This record gives sequence, structure tokens and C-alpha cells, in this order.
Amino acid sequence: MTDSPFSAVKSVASERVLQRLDSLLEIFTNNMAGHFSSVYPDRKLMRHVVECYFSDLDRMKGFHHIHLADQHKRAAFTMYWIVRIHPIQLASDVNIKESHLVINEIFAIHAGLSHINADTTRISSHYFRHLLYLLHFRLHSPEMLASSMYTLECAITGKQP
Amino acid sequence: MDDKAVTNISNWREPNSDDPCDEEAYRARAFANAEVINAKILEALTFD
Repeated sequence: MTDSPFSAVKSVASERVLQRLDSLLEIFTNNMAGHFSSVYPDRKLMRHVVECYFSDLDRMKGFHHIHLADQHKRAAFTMYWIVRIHPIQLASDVNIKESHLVINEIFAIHAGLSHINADTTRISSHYFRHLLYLLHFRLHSPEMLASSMYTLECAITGKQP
Repeated sequence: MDDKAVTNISNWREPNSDDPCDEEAYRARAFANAEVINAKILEALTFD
């Protein structure tokens, strides 16, 4: 299985995968469980997110000779794989509201932006709306999103990009 | 035409490198930002 697209998962310690899985489940519980009804995290889909995240990032690091992925890549690849795999599921009895349509995008924002080492509470609700739209309709590449996250961090911290 | 490789990225380096992810700090940031981000996202969903 050396040519498996998921062989890169073997290059990260399984403990690392499980730690990140626990982090994402904890983020859902702490940040979202009390705010959104009739939604739940699927543990297997969440693990799939984590494995794809590490595999994808590992390939990128290999191609670009990157030793450690920076905070912007971690944020972008986290968001990208969450909105692709949809680890947050709707209960069968859900009465669908607008927030349910973008529940995975909301989770992606919580889990992704927390990688940014800056005060993300300073981001405006207008930007959040833009980000929700981008994640839901237009996200094609985590690499471009990483670039956007770098610019966002500069905007928050006042650093010249 | 010379039969030589034209793409040599062996000396290219990603300029923006960073520290390894501190999992505890990651969880703490997520927890600290939860209320404000939820409030702003809910506000964002009600724009018209």
C-alpha cells in the first residue's frame, strides 16, 4: 500500500491524529453544541477529516520543502477538509434553519480560525458572512485560502502583509 | 534543444514557516473565542 493516497498518514504519529480528533470533537462540544440544535459530530467522518488534513498537508510540505506548516496553512487545510467531508450531521428530526445549511462551514470557521495566533474576535460579522459564502460555494483550493488567512492575520494584527 | 530539466525547485523554500502546532494552545484559543465568533456568525446569517 505504499502508493495509497493515504500512506502519508503513516508519516504522522497516530497519537497526533487522535489528539487532533479529540481537539475537533472538543471544539464542537464547547463552541457549538449549546448553540445549534439537532446537529451532532460523526466520529468516523471527523477522523476522515483529520486523516485527509494530515495527508494533504504532508504532500504539500514534501513538494515545497516545508518543514513545519505555518498557522495559515493549518487554518486553511482544516477548513477545506471540514467543508468537503461534512463531519457535522443533521439529526433526522431537524427543523432546518439557515444555520443548518452552513453548519459545517460554521464548524470550519471555529476549528480553522483557532489556528490563527491573533485575536480573531476582532473580525467583523461582514467578513464572517463573506467567509461562510466562500466556504459554502466557492472554495477550490486550501492553498489559496491559506494565502487569504495570512492577509487576514495581517489585517488583525496591523502587520504589513 | 537541450534535453535538460528546466524546473529546479530544489533551492526554493516556503518563506513563511512557523512553530509546530501546540494542541493545548489551539484548544484554548478555540474555547476563548467561541462566544464572540458564534455571536458574529449569527449576526452574519441575518444580514440582508
